Amino acid sequence: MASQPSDASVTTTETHVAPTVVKIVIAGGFAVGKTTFIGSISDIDPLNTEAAMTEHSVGVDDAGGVTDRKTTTTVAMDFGRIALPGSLWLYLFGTPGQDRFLFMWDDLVRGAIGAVVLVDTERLDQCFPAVDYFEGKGIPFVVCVNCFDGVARHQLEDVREALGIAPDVPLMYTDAREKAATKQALIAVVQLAMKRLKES
Amino acid sequence: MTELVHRNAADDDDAYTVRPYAVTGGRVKGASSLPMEALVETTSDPASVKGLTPEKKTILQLAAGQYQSVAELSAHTRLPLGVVRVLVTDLAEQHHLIIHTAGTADDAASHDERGGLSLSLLESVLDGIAAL
Repeated sequence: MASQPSDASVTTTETHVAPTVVKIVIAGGFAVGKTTFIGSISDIDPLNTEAAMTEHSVGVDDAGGVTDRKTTTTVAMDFGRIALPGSLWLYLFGTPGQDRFLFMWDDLVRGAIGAVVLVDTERLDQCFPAVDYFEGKGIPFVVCVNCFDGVARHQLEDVREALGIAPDVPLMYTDAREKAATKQALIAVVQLAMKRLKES
Repeated sequence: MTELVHRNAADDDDAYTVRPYAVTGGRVKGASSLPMEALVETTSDPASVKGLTPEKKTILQLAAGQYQSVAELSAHTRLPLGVVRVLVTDLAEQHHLIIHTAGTADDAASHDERGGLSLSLLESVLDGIAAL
């Protein structure tokens, strides 16, 4: 590429280097604490972005009727950002809370280090889609039981059995409000990704 | 006014006034692979660029003097992610901004041959989080 002086203002003189960006996906059911988790450790207040999409829905209708039509809807995702030393920016993306938007996750997880699946033991079934998705895609994930009031109501091994997750999937308690706890969850994801990489 | 894009009930107060495809000039494809965490940096002075749509001008202003991810631009402009991807790609083709993808899935240098993040990058992330 010829770089003539007149191009300098357009192509920019690289006096600085843009941060390297990585991301971890925060998944789980509706109202399980994903945004709280992100907000506990993010440098910025969690932001909300939307993806408008056209859904071709067949046979699904809120009114119970049979339909075959296209509808446009929007899906909201919350996210946050953490600046790490060495010009590294870590983004935390919360998944849209509803199962029917699982197809969007391919976009979300592309290039992600891995995922945290937040679990509310009172509504255990809500995290099944996330666990199934990450298992199916081979994406490193850790499962965090969110203790809403700091009280663990279930033994971790009971949760493991109920979820049917493999012994090598890290499982821990967390408190989505506490930075120290969310930090441990993020560390566990990165460590798992490194372990997978070394084993492969 | 007719509601042009269905929104969540909670967001009814800020419904779009134009269809997303009007903002993008009718294009919906081509930019869809741009990572949402890719960083955008404005290279043209937003005030001196003529003939841009208000949405593009806003993007240039938001990413002037600071890196903004595609997702952040979407959040701040309240435009859907897909629309911002198209606008950012357009602006990059017009040399008004630069897209930085280091670390993302579009950056081969930070990934191993199977597409996973490299061990050295993961180590840096781990050290960084541990130091928080």
